[in-house]
Amino acid sequence: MLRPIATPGVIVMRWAACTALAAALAGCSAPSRKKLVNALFDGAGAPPPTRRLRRDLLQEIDGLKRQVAEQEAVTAAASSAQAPASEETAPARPIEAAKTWDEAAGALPKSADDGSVDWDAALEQGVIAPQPGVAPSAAVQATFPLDIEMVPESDPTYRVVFQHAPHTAWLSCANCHPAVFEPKRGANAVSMESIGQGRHCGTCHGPVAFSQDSCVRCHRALSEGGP
Amino acid sequence: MIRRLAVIVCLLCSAAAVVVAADGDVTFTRDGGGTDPAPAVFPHWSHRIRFRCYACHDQVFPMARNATRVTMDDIAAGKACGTCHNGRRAWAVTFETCNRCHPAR
Repeated sequence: MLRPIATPGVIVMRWAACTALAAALAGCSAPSRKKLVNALFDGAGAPPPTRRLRRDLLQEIDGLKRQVAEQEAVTAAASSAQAPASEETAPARPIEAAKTWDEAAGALPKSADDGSVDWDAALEQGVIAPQPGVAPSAAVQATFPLDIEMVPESDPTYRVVFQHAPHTAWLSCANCHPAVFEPKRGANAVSMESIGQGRHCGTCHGPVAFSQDSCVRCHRALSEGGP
Repeated sequence: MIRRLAVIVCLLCSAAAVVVAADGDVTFTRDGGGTDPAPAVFPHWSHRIRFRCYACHDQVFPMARNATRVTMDDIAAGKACGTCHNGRRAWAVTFETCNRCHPAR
């Protein structure tokens, strides 16, 4: 005989093994099930999804979609709760009750370098909670972590590291690119002259962001004692 | 004194809006140079403690200086300041609120 006759004991053992495997497959999550199936079948490519796997995956996708929808609803509710619908609603932050600039400025953190208002610190410390859009459902955009070092040939002491991160907490990419800065390295001849003329950094720094007289807030090496 | 000087400078400019103060106030000039009621002053700081720049720029107001023209009709139509100042998002522009933008002298 080429094949031995299966004894009742062997049959029971095989059934037990199959049941255990089925239970393990049913019990674990779809990704680990896929791994297990791949391991059992020698990893020879992912096996075509069985009807059951397919059903489980669809269920999982539905679950994730539900979670996303719930999160969006929570976020929307939170932002509409923050929205100052009228003057009767309590301000989201105490500073929003300020009636004059002096009053507001008194509550805002100041730069250690020159004592002027430090809006980035105000944002980080939660003194202000500026909303990202006119619509209550608007989302805060992610900040962009790219730093750009600019070293003047004349004197490296005056080098500046432009940080995208604090700027993108306030501004969208399109606010500056390409009208104010070409989005290309070396394509912008930034100088104190151009800034003084209200171009490049001077578009905002001076009129609405910290003053061009706050030298060390950009030229860090001047306050750190050398490049 | 600085404010008065700024207003005079603005009156000499033909542009619609000129940034004048260090804290980002924008004093508008009226076409034809009228001063009654006083041209509107936009307090940047008051908006900045509540909104990020990209909340209004460039969708509601262009960034470029002297590029913003605002009329009371625009505001009533829900454009420019009227995007929010409509009694729902922020206080409404009515005859009760004139001097919040057009400072009394």
